[in-house]
Amino acid sequence: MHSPLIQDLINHLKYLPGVGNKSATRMAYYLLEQNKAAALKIANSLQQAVEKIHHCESCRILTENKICQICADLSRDEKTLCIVGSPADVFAIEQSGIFKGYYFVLMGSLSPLDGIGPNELGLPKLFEKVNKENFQEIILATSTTVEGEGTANYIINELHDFSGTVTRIAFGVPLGGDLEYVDGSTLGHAFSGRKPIS
Amino acid sequence: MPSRQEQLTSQAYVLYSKPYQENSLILDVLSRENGRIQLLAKGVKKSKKGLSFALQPFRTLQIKYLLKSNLSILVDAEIIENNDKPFKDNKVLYSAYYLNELLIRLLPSHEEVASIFSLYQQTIQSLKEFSLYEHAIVKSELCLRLFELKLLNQIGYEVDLQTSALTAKQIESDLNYVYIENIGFVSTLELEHPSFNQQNTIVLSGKTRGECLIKLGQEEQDFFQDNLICRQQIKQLLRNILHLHLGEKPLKTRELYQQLFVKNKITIHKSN
Repeated sequence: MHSPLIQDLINHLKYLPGVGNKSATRMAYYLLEQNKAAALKIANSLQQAVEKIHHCESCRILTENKICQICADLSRDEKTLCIVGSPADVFAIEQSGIFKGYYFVLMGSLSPLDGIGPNELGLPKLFEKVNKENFQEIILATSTTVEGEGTANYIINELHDFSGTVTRIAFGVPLGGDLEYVDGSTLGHAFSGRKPIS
Repeated sequence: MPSRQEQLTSQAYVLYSKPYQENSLILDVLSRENGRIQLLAKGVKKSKKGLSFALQPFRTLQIKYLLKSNLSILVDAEIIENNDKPFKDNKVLYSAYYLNELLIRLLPSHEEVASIFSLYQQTIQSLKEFSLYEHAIVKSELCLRLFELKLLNQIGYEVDLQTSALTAKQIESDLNYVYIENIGFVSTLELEHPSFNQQNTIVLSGKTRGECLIKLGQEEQDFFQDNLICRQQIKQLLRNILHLHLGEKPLKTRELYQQLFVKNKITIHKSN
Protein backbone atom coordinates (compact mmCIF):
# COMPACT_ATOMS: atom_id res chain seq x y z
CA MET A 1 0.00 0.00 0.00
CA HIS A 2 1.23 3.47 -0.83
CA SER A 3 0.68 6.42 1.44
CA PRO A 4 -2.28 8.59 0.39
CA LEU A 5 -0.12 11.34 -1.16
CA ILE A 6 1.96 8.87 -3.15
CA GLN A 7 -1.18 7.07 -4.27
CA ASP A 8 -2.59 10.41 -5.44
CA LEU A 9 0.56 11.11 -7.42
CA ILE A 10 0.43 7.65 -9.03
CA ASN A 11 -3.22 8.12 -9.92
CA HIS A 12 -2.54 11.50 -11.49
CA LEU A 13 0.47 10.26 -13.48
CA LYS A 14 -1.86 7.68 -15.02
CA TYR A 15 -3.65 10.52 -16.80
CA LEU A 16 -0.69 10.60 -19.21
CA PRO A 17 -1.15 8.63 -22.44
CA GLY A 18 0.45 5.20 -22.39
CA VAL A 19 1.08 5.29 -18.62
CA GLY A 20 -0.48 2.48 -16.62
CA ASN A 21 -0.23 1.58 -12.96
CA LYS A 22 3.28 0.08 -13.12
CA SER A 23 4.86 2.95 -15.05
CA ALA A 24 3.12 5.52 -12.87
CA THR A 25 4.40 3.82 -9.71
CA ARG A 26 7.95 3.69 -11.08
CA MET A 27 7.83 7.35 -12.07
CA ALA A 28 6.43 8.43 -8.70
CA TYR A 29 9.10 6.59 -6.69
CA TYR A 30 11.89 7.75 -9.00
CA LEU A 31 10.86 11.39 -8.63
CA LEU A 32 10.41 11.18 -4.86
CA GLU A 33 13.46 9.11 -4.04
CA GLN A 34 16.05 10.02 -6.58
CA ASN A 35 15.23 13.29 -8.23
CA LYS A 36 13.16 15.65 -6.15
CA ALA A 37 14.65 18.66 -7.95
CA ALA A 38 13.36 17.37 -11.27
CA ALA A 39 9.97 16.71 -9.68
CA LEU A 40 9.74 20.34 -8.62
CA LYS A 41 10.80 21.50 -12.08
CA ILE A 42 8.10 19.34 -13.68
CA ALA A 43 5.49 20.59 -11.25
CA ASN A 44 6.48 24.19 -11.87
CA SER A 45 6.56 23.77 -15.67
CA LEU A 46 3.18 22.11 -15.69
CA GLN A 47 1.66 24.83 -13.58
CA GLN A 48 3.14 27.58 -15.74
CA ALA A 49 2.20 25.90 -19.00
CA VAL A 50 -1.38 25.16 -17.95
CA GLU A 51 -1.87 28.74 -16.78
CA LYS A 52 -0.26 30.49 -19.70
CA ILE A 53 -0.62 28.31 -22.80
CA HIS A 54 -3.62 28.87 -25.05
CA HIS A 55 -4.47 28.76 -28.74
CA CYS A 56 -2.76 31.25 -31.07
CA GLU A 57 -5.41 33.75 -32.12
CA SER A 58 -4.42 33.42 -35.73
CA CYS A 59 -3.65 29.73 -36.36
CA ARG A 60 -4.88 27.91 -33.19
CA ILE A 61 -1.52 26.29 -32.42
CA LEU A 62 -0.62 26.23 -28.72
CA THR A 63 1.44 29.21 -27.54
CA GLU A 64 1.95 31.44 -24.52
CA ASN A 65 1.77 34.55 -26.69
CA LYS A 66 -1.28 36.09 -28.30
CA ILE A 67 0.16 35.21 -31.69
CA CYS A 68 2.56 32.26 -32.10
CA GLN A 69 6.13 32.55 -33.41
CA ILE A 70 5.21 31.30 -36.87
CA CYS A 71 2.29 33.70 -37.32
CA ALA A 72 4.41 36.58 -35.96
CA ASP A 73 7.21 35.89 -38.47
CA LEU A 74 6.71 38.49 -41.19
CA SER A 75 9.38 36.97 -43.45
CA ARG A 76 7.16 33.99 -44.27
CA ASP A 77 5.18 33.67 -47.50
CA GLU A 78 1.91 35.49 -46.83
CA LYS A 79 0.28 34.08 -49.96
CA THR A 80 0.03 30.45 -48.83
CA LEU A 81 -1.90 28.87 -46.01
CA CYS A 82 -1.55 25.22 -45.02
CA ILE A 83 -4.39 23.57 -43.08
CA VAL A 84 -3.28 20.72 -40.82
CA GLY A 85 -4.91 18.49 -38.22
CA SER A 86 -2.56 18.86 -35.25
CA PRO A 87 0.43 20.84 -33.90
CA ALA A 88 2.56 17.71 -34.46
CA ASP A 89 1.84 18.07 -38.20
CA VAL A 90 3.14 21.65 -38.09
CA PHE A 91 6.37 20.53 -36.43
CA ALA A 92 6.81 17.72 -38.98
CA ILE A 93 6.36 20.13 -41.91
CA GLU A 94 8.58 22.76 -40.25
CA GLN A 95 11.35 20.21 -39.73
CA SER A 96 11.25 19.30 -43.41
CA GLY A 97 11.81 23.01 -44.20
CA ILE A 98 9.72 22.59 -47.33
CA PHE A 99 6.96 25.05 -46.58
CA LYS A 100 7.39 28.72 -45.76
CA GLY A 101 3.82 29.95 -45.59
CA TYR A 102 1.42 30.17 -42.66
CA TYR A 103 -0.64 27.44 -40.98
CA PHE A 104 -4.07 26.85 -39.61
CA VAL A 105 -4.36 24.00 -37.08
CA LEU A 106 -7.74 22.28 -36.79
CA MET A 107 -6.82 20.27 -33.68
CA GLY A 108 -8.68 17.21 -34.98
CA SER A 109 -11.16 16.20 -37.69
CA LEU A 110 -14.90 16.44 -38.03
CA SER A 111 -15.96 13.46 -35.98
CA PRO A 112 -19.72 12.84 -36.10
CA LEU A 113 -19.94 10.21 -33.36
CA ASP A 114 -17.77 12.22 -30.98
CA GLY A 115 -19.81 15.37 -31.59
CA ILE A 116 -16.78 17.24 -32.99
CA GLY A 117 -18.17 19.76 -35.43
CA PRO A 118 -17.02 22.84 -37.34
CA ASN A 119 -16.98 25.06 -34.24
CA GLU A 120 -14.71 22.70 -32.31
CA LEU A 121 -12.27 22.79 -35.26
CA GLY A 122 -12.37 26.58 -35.44
CA LEU A 123 -13.71 26.52 -39.00
CA PRO A 124 -15.61 29.84 -38.63
CA LYS A 125 -12.24 31.36 -37.63
CA LEU A 126 -10.55 29.73 -40.64
CA PHE A 127 -13.11 31.10 -43.09
CA GLU A 128 -12.85 34.54 -41.46
CA LYS A 129 -9.06 34.38 -41.85
CA VAL A 130 -9.38 33.44 -45.53
CA ASN A 131 -11.76 36.35 -46.07
CA LYS A 132 -9.56 38.85 -44.25
CA GLU A 133 -6.14 37.93 -45.57
CA ASN A 134 -4.88 37.77 -49.08
CA PHE A 135 -3.95 34.12 -49.66
CA GLN A 136 -3.42 32.86 -53.18
CA GLU A 137 -3.12 29.19 -52.31
CA ILE A 138 -4.67 27.10 -49.58
CA ILE A 139 -3.04 23.71 -49.07
CA LEU A 140 -5.04 21.00 -47.34
CA ALA A 141 -2.77 18.66 -45.39
CA THR A 142 -5.37 16.89 -43.23
CA SER A 143 -5.04 13.18 -42.50
CA THR A 144 -6.04 10.44 -44.94
CA THR A 145 -8.54 8.76 -42.61
CA VAL A 146 -12.23 8.76 -43.55
CA GLU A 147 -12.74 11.58 -41.04
CA GLY A 148 -9.75 13.55 -42.34
CA GLU A 149 -10.99 13.22 -45.94
CA GLY A 150 -14.50 14.24 -44.88
CA THR A 151 -13.06 17.32 -43.16
CA ALA A 152 -10.98 18.21 -46.23
CA ASN A 153 -13.96 17.79 -48.56
CA TYR A 154 -16.13 19.96 -46.33
CA ILE A 155 -13.50 22.73 -46.30
CA ILE A 156 -13.05 22.44 -50.08
CA ASN A 157 -16.83 22.83 -50.57
CA GLU A 158 -16.95 25.85 -48.29
CA LEU A 159 -14.04 27.44 -50.15
CA HIS A 160 -15.68 27.13 -53.57
CA ASP A 161 -15.87 30.93 -53.92
CA PHE A 162 -12.24 31.44 -52.91
CA SER A 163 -10.54 33.10 -55.86
CA GLY A 164 -7.12 31.48 -55.35
CA THR A 165 -6.09 27.85 -55.70
CA VAL A 166 -7.07 25.13 -53.25
CA THR A 167 -4.72 22.14 -53.29
CA ARG A 168 -4.49 18.83 -51.44
CA ILE A 169 -1.08 17.29 -50.61
CA ALA A 170 -0.24 14.23 -52.72
CA PHE A 171 -0.68 10.68 -51.41
CA GLY A 172 1.05 7.59 -52.67
CA VAL A 173 4.10 5.38 -52.60
CA PRO A 174 6.55 6.28 -49.80
CA LEU A 175 10.10 7.12 -50.90
CA GLY A 176 12.30 4.04 -50.72
CA GLY A 177 9.25 1.78 -50.62
CA ASP A 178 8.69 -1.27 -52.81
CA LEU A 179 5.46 -1.25 -54.79
CA GLU A 180 4.66 -4.85 -53.87
CA TYR A 181 4.28 -3.90 -50.18
CA VAL A 182 2.02 -0.91 -50.79
CA ASP A 183 -1.69 -1.52 -50.13
CA GLY A 184 -4.29 -1.23 -52.91
CA SER A 185 -5.86 2.05 -51.81
CA THR A 186 -2.50 3.83 -51.54
CA LEU A 187 -1.47 2.50 -54.96
CA GLY A 188 -4.83 3.70 -56.30
CA HIS A 189 -4.06 7.21 -55.02
CA ALA A 190 -0.55 7.03 -56.43
CA PHE A 191 -1.89 6.12 -59.87
CA SER A 192 -4.75 8.61 -59.94
CA GLY A 193 -2.40 11.38 -58.75
CA ARG A 194 0.39 10.60 -61.28
CA LYS A 195 2.17 13.54 -62.92
CA PRO A 196 3.40 13.98 -66.51
CA ILE A 197 7.18 14.22 -66.57
CA SER A 198 7.64 15.49 -70.10
CA MET B 1 -21.05 -19.19 -27.34
CA PRO B 2 -17.87 -20.85 -28.62
CA SER B 3 -14.98 -21.59 -26.25
CA ARG B 4 -13.33 -18.41 -25.07
CA GLN B 5 -9.97 -18.75 -26.75
CA GLU B 6 -11.20 -19.96 -30.12
CA GLN B 7 -10.14 -17.63 -32.91
CA LEU B 8 -13.11 -16.60 -35.03
CA THR B 9 -13.29 -15.11 -38.49
CA SER B 10 -16.01 -12.83 -39.79
CA GLN B 11 -16.77 -10.10 -42.26
CA ALA B 12 -17.17 -6.84 -40.41
CA TYR B 13 -17.48 -3.08 -40.57
CA VAL B 14 -16.01 -0.65 -38.05
CA LEU B 15 -18.83 1.55 -36.75
CA TYR B 16 -16.77 3.62 -34.35
CA SER B 17 -13.26 3.69 -32.97
CA LYS B 18 -11.67 5.50 -30.09
CA PRO B 19 -8.02 5.65 -29.11
CA TYR B 20 -6.91 3.47 -26.23
CA GLN B 21 -3.52 4.06 -24.62
CA GLU B 22 -0.84 5.22 -27.00
CA ASN B 23 -1.05 2.82 -29.92
CA SER B 24 -4.29 0.90 -29.52
CA LEU B 25 -7.92 1.36 -30.47
CA ILE B 26 -11.21 0.23 -29.02
CA LEU B 27 -13.56 -0.55 -31.89
CA ASP B 28 -17.30 -0.91 -32.12
CA VAL B 29 -17.76 -3.36 -34.97
CA LEU B 30 -20.72 -4.82 -36.85
CA SER B 31 -19.78 -8.42 -37.69
CA ARG B 32 -21.70 -10.89 -39.81
CA GLU B 33 -21.17 -13.74 -37.36
CA ASN B 34 -21.58 -12.14 -33.94
CA GLY B 35 -23.53 -8.94 -34.57
CA ARG B 36 -22.26 -5.83 -32.83
CA ILE B 37 -19.11 -6.46 -30.80
CA GLN B 38 -16.52 -4.32 -29.07
CA LEU B 39 -12.93 -5.13 -29.94
CA LEU B 40 -9.58 -4.14 -28.50
CA ALA B 41 -7.13 -3.59 -31.34
CA LYS B 42 -3.76 -3.67 -29.55
CA GLY B 43 -0.85 -1.70 -30.96
CA VAL B 44 -2.51 -1.12 -34.34
CA LYS B 45 -1.40 2.50 -34.61
CA LYS B 46 2.21 1.42 -35.08
CA SER B 47 1.42 -1.75 -37.00
CA LYS B 48 3.62 -2.18 -40.07
CA LYS B 49 0.79 -3.99 -41.84
CA GLY B 50 -1.20 -0.76 -42.05
CA LEU B 51 -3.91 -2.11 -39.76
CA SER B 52 -5.00 1.32 -38.56
CA PHE B 53 -5.55 2.26 -42.22
CA ALA B 54 -7.81 -0.76 -42.69
CA LEU B 55 -9.72 -0.23 -39.45
CA GLN B 56 -11.81 2.67 -40.63
CA PRO B 57 -15.55 2.97 -41.08
CA PHE B 58 -17.35 1.88 -44.28
CA ARG B 59 -14.72 -0.66 -45.39
CA THR B 60 -15.66 -4.31 -45.70
CA LEU B 61 -13.15 -6.17 -43.54
CA GLN B 62 -12.30 -9.75 -42.84
CA ILE B 63 -11.44 -9.83 -39.14
CA LYS B 64 -9.94 -12.50 -36.93
CA TYR B 65 -10.74 -12.15 -33.26
CA LEU B 66 -11.01 -13.83 -29.87
CA LEU B 67 -14.57 -13.49 -28.67
CA LYS B 68 -15.01 -12.40 -25.05
CA SER B 69 -18.15 -11.49 -23.19
CA ASN B 70 -17.40 -7.77 -23.07
CA LEU B 71 -14.22 -6.63 -24.83
CA SER B 72 -13.10 -9.06 -27.55
CA ILE B 73 -9.55 -9.05 -28.92
CA LEU B 74 -8.75 -8.26 -32.54
CA VAL B 75 -6.08 -10.56 -33.95
CA ASP B 76 -5.96 -9.45 -37.57
CA ALA B 77 -7.95 -7.52 -40.16
CA GLU B 78 -7.77 -6.98 -43.89
CA ILE B 79 -9.84 -5.08 -46.41
CA ILE B 80 -11.71 -7.54 -48.64
CA GLU B 81 -13.41 -5.12 -50.95
CA ASN B 82 -11.18 -4.73 -53.98
CA ASN B 83 -12.83 -1.63 -55.30
CA ASP B 84 -12.93 0.09 -51.94
CA LYS B 85 -14.58 3.31 -53.09
CA PRO B 86 -14.70 6.37 -50.87
CA PHE B 87 -17.82 8.52 -50.52
CA LYS B 88 -17.67 11.21 -53.16
CA ASP B 89 -20.33 13.37 -51.55
CA ASN B 90 -19.97 14.71 -48.03
CA LYS B 91 -23.70 14.83 -47.26
CA VAL B 92 -23.93 11.14 -48.08
CA LEU B 93 -20.80 10.41 -46.00
CA TYR B 94 -22.26 12.08 -42.92
CA SER B 95 -25.58 10.30 -43.52
CA ALA B 96 -23.65 7.02 -43.44
CA TYR B 97 -22.22 8.03 -40.04
CA TYR B 98 -25.84 8.50 -38.98
CA LEU B 99 -26.49 4.83 -39.79
CA ASN B 100 -23.52 3.88 -37.62
CA GLU B 101 -24.89 5.90 -34.73
CA LEU B 102 -28.33 4.31 -35.14
CA LEU B 103 -26.77 0.84 -34.94
CA ILE B 104 -24.70 1.75 -31.89
CA ARG B 105 -27.72 3.20 -30.13
CA LEU B 106 -30.34 0.61 -31.14
CA LEU B 107 -28.62 -2.71 -31.69
CA PRO B 108 -27.64 -4.61 -28.53
CA SER B 109 -24.15 -6.16 -28.48
CA HIS B 110 -23.66 -9.84 -29.30
CA GLU B 111 -27.01 -10.31 -31.00
CA GLU B 112 -26.33 -12.40 -34.07
CA VAL B 113 -28.44 -10.79 -36.76
CA ALA B 114 -26.98 -11.62 -40.15
CA SER B 115 -29.79 -9.77 -41.90
CA ILE B 116 -28.71 -6.50 -40.27
CA PHE B 117 -25.18 -7.07 -41.54
CA SER B 118 -26.46 -7.65 -45.09
CA LEU B 119 -28.78 -4.64 -44.84
CA TYR B 120 -25.92 -2.43 -43.66
CA GLN B 121 -23.57 -3.76 -46.34
CA GLN B 122 -26.09 -3.19 -49.14
CA THR B 123 -26.99 0.27 -47.82
CA ILE B 124 -23.34 1.38 -47.60
CA GLN B 125 -22.64 0.06 -51.11
CA SER B 126 -25.69 1.84 -52.53
CA LEU B 127 -24.82 5.09 -50.75
CA LYS B 128 -21.26 4.97 -52.11
CA GLU B 129 -22.72 4.42 -55.58
CA PHE B 130 -25.22 7.29 -55.22
CA SER B 131 -22.47 9.58 -53.93
CA LEU B 132 -20.90 9.57 -57.41
CA TYR B 133 -23.86 11.38 -58.94
CA GLU B 134 -25.28 14.89 -58.86
CA HIS B 135 -27.99 15.42 -56.21
CA ALA B 136 -26.51 12.44 -54.39
CA ILE B 137 -28.34 13.08 -51.13
CA VAL B 138 -31.75 13.19 -52.87
CA LYS B 139 -30.96 9.87 -54.56
CA SER B 140 -29.83 8.42 -51.22
CA GLU B 141 -32.93 9.31 -49.24
CA LEU B 142 -35.05 6.24 -49.97
CA CYS B 143 -32.07 4.03 -49.15
CA LEU B 144 -31.68 5.77 -45.75
CA ARG B 145 -35.41 5.53 -44.97
CA LEU B 146 -35.51 1.83 -45.88
CA PHE B 147 -32.55 1.23 -43.57
CA GLU B 148 -34.41 2.94 -40.71
CA LEU B 149 -37.58 0.97 -41.43
CA LYS B 150 -35.86 -2.41 -41.71
CA LEU B 151 -33.73 -1.74 -38.63
CA LEU B 152 -36.92 -1.00 -36.68
CA ASN B 153 -38.38 -4.29 -37.94
CA GLN B 154 -35.25 -6.17 -36.92
CA ILE B 155 -35.27 -4.84 -33.38
CA GLY B 156 -38.86 -5.98 -33.04
CA TYR B 157 -40.82 -2.89 -33.96
CA GLU B 158 -42.68 -3.67 -37.14
CA VAL B 159 -44.17 -0.73 -39.02
CA ASP B 160 -47.03 -2.05 -41.16
CA LEU B 161 -47.18 0.04 -44.33
CA GLN B 162 -49.98 -2.04 -45.88
CA THR B 163 -53.00 -1.75 -43.67
CA SER B 164 -54.90 0.81 -41.71
CA ALA B 165 -54.69 -0.30 -38.07
CA LEU B 166 -58.28 0.23 -36.98
CA THR B 167 -60.18 -1.11 -39.97
CA ALA B 168 -57.57 -3.56 -41.36
CA LYS B 169 -58.30 -2.04 -44.78
CA GLN B 170 -55.52 -1.50 -47.32
CA ILE B 171 -53.79 1.88 -47.07
CA GLU B 172 -55.35 4.09 -49.75
CA SER B 173 -53.15 6.35 -51.79
CA ASP B 174 -55.48 9.37 -51.70
CA LEU B 175 -56.02 9.44 -47.95
CA ASN B 176 -53.83 11.04 -45.31
CA TYR B 177 -52.63 8.96 -42.38
CA VAL B 178 -51.19 9.60 -38.95
CA TYR B 179 -49.14 7.11 -36.97
CA ILE B 180 -50.39 6.31 -33.48
CA GLU B 181 -48.03 4.80 -30.94
CA ASN B 182 -48.72 1.09 -30.30
CA ILE B 183 -51.57 1.10 -32.85
CA GLY B 184 -50.25 1.93 -36.33
CA PHE B 185 -51.51 4.01 -39.23
CA VAL B 186 -54.95 5.53 -38.95
CA SER B 187 -56.48 7.64 -41.68
CA THR B 188 -57.39 11.20 -40.72
CA LEU B 189 -61.02 10.35 -41.64
CA GLU B 190 -61.06 7.56 -39.04
CA LEU B 191 -59.35 9.80 -36.54
CA GLU B 192 -62.05 12.46 -36.89
CA HIS B 193 -64.87 9.93 -36.71
CA PRO B 194 -66.91 10.31 -33.49
CA SER B 195 -66.57 6.60 -32.73
CA PHE B 196 -62.79 6.87 -32.43
CA ASN B 197 -61.66 7.11 -28.86
CA GLN B 198 -58.81 9.61 -28.80
CA GLN B 199 -58.03 9.05 -25.16
CA ASN B 200 -54.68 7.45 -24.42
CA THR B 201 -53.53 7.76 -28.00
CA ILE B 202 -50.25 9.41 -28.88
CA VAL B 203 -50.15 10.62 -32.46
CA LEU B 204 -46.52 10.32 -33.49
CA SER B 205 -46.47 12.06 -36.82
CA GLY B 206 -48.10 14.74 -38.87
CA LYS B 207 -50.11 13.68 -41.88
CA THR B 208 -48.50 11.30 -44.34
CA ARG B 209 -50.13 10.66 -47.69
CA GLY B 210 -51.16 7.05 -48.28
CA GLU B 211 -49.38 7.15 -51.61
CA CYS B 212 -46.05 7.89 -49.87
CA LEU B 213 -46.51 4.87 -47.56
CA ILE B 214 -47.40 2.58 -50.45
CA LYS B 215 -44.41 3.73 -52.52
CA LEU B 216 -42.10 3.32 -49.53
CA GLY B 217 -43.29 -0.27 -49.16
CA GLN B 218 -42.68 -0.82 -52.88
CA GLU B 219 -39.19 0.80 -52.61
CA GLU B 220 -39.93 3.07 -55.59
CA GLN B 221 -36.64 4.90 -56.10
CA ASP B 222 -37.79 7.16 -58.96
CA PHE B 223 -40.96 8.20 -57.15
CA PHE B 224 -39.02 9.35 -54.07
CA GLN B 225 -36.39 11.13 -56.12
CA ASP B 226 -39.09 13.24 -57.76
CA ASN B 227 -41.35 13.79 -54.78
CA LEU B 228 -40.06 16.24 -52.18
CA ILE B 229 -43.23 16.22 -50.08
CA CYS B 230 -43.20 12.44 -49.70
CA ARG B 231 -39.50 12.50 -48.82
CA GLN B 232 -40.17 15.06 -46.09
CA GLN B 233 -43.25 13.30 -44.73
CA ILE B 234 -41.60 9.88 -44.56
CA LYS B 235 -38.43 11.32 -43.03
CA GLN B 236 -40.44 13.01 -40.29
CA LEU B 237 -42.57 9.90 -39.73
CA LEU B 238 -39.58 7.58 -39.27
CA ARG B 239 -37.74 10.15 -37.20
CA ASN B 240 -40.66 10.25 -34.77
CA ILE B 241 -40.94 6.46 -34.57
CA LEU B 242 -37.18 6.12 -34.05
CA HIS B 243 -37.36 8.74 -31.35
CA LEU B 244 -39.46 6.31 -29.28
CA HIS B 245 -36.52 3.91 -29.20
CA LEU B 246 -33.69 6.40 -29.05
CA GLY B 247 -34.97 8.26 -26.02
CA GLU B 248 -34.22 11.86 -25.16
CA LYS B 249 -30.51 11.87 -25.95
CA PRO B 250 -30.13 13.60 -29.33
CA LEU B 251 -28.24 11.98 -32.19
CA LYS B 252 -24.79 13.55 -32.52
CA THR B 253 -24.60 12.81 -36.23
CA ARG B 254 -27.88 14.62 -36.88
CA GLU B 255 -26.65 17.65 -34.94
CA LEU B 256 -23.41 17.70 -36.92
CA TYR B 257 -25.27 17.34 -40.24
CA GLN B 258 -27.40 20.35 -39.29
CA GLN B 259 -24.30 22.37 -38.37
CA LEU B 260 -22.45 21.43 -41.54
CA PHE B 261 -25.12 21.71 -44.16
CA VAL B 262 -28.16 23.51 -42.84
CA LYS B 263 -27.37 26.22 -40.28
CA ASN B 264 -25.85 29.70 -40.77
CA LYS B 265 -22.55 29.36 -42.54
CA ILE B 266 -19.76 31.87 -43.10
CA THR B 267 -19.45 32.46 -46.80
CA ILE B 268 -16.20 33.11 -48.57
CA HIS B 269 -16.20 36.46 -50.39
CA LYS B 270 -15.63 36.24 -54.11
CA SER B 271 -13.67 39.46 -54.01
CA ASN B 272 -10.82 37.81 -52.10
